[in-house]
Amino acid sequence: MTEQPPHSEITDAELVVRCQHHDPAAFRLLVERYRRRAWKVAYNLVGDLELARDISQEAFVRMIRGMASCDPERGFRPWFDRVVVNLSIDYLRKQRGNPAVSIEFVAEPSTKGDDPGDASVRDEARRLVHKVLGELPPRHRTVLVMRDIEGMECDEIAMVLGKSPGTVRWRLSRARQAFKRVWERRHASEAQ
Amino acid sequence: MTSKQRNDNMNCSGYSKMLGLHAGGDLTSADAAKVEAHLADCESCRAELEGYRRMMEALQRAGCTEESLPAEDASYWHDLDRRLRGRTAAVERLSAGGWWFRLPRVALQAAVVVLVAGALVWLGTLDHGASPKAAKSPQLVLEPGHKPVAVLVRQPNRQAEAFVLPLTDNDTMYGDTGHVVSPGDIRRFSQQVLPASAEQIGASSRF
Repeated sequence: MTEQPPHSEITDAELVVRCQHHDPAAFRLLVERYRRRAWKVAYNLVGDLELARDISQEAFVRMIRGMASCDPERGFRPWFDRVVVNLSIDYLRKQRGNPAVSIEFVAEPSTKGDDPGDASVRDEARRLVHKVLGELPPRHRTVLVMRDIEGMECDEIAMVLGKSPGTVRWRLSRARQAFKRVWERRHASEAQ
Repeated sequence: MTSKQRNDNMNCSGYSKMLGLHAGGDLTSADAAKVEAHLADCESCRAELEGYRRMMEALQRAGCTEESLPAEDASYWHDLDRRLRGRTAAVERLSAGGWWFRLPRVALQAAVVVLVAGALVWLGTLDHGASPKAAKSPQLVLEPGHKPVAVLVRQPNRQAEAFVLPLTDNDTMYGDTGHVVSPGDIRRFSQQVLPASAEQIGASSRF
């Protein structure tokens, strides 16, 4: 959430205004600045690297088409997050009823002095979390990823999803209960 | 019963539903205080809260970061470019308004297409009675920096009339420089928007 964007001396708001005036260089800068974020957010939601990359590209196409509706004063990132999240949700909804949602696992890059044994345990724990996420309905998975993985605030999630903050909190509560139930059951069965 | 009384009388089951939000700091301060007061006296809820905290730590560690994504190559831009161009052509064909990329280039394209169409209509009138094979030899060789954007067609029973058909980007049409576009290629592209009986009388790639 704190990554320093490329060409950071130019604000997002400036780039949005330039895009709205059909400046291809501004569009390119916005893509450079947000493409990995879009890829990451989509991946955390859909669990498939290639598909997430595809979603990130589609998001930029939608961005151009809808750029006129982006208010630079309200911030580009929440507006663009909404595009990425909605595209990902569309995919998850299409997958609903398909129990075999495969989660492609991306391992954390190893760091210096990292014990391979510890890294393996951590990777296994992460793999389990992704498995459990894959079992949840899209509405639960979405709020969990946005709040607990992406670290977005409930008000921000509400803005992205177009729901009230109260609805987001209620949904988050249900999602955490559902996740905990499945996670603990899987944890117990894998420990045996 | 007032809200305060209801909260005061809430049992473990009621508080349990709030523990997930409490673990993430998502309760209002008033509700958080009530949960804390209950936790002070309830060991099972404290254990459950601990379970939520472990679960949330696991979730936080499970997220993919930008650094852990694979490195990207130049194909990202190439793919994005293709996607944008394909969408532009589709939008133009549907005459949708207000799109970003269609301003100067599309205006130029439209002007040239109209000129070529006019010329071919005129030629079609002159060729009336000539061998139909002479009028339709649609071979098109892609050159660097050019791609076919329009095909001109004529309906069998309307000899002097030409249609301008903008082409969408496609794996076959877009890409390989030097690829000869056959009438079959063009028919495949045009079959969704043209009458099956229409015949092609020309093509242009230099817009």
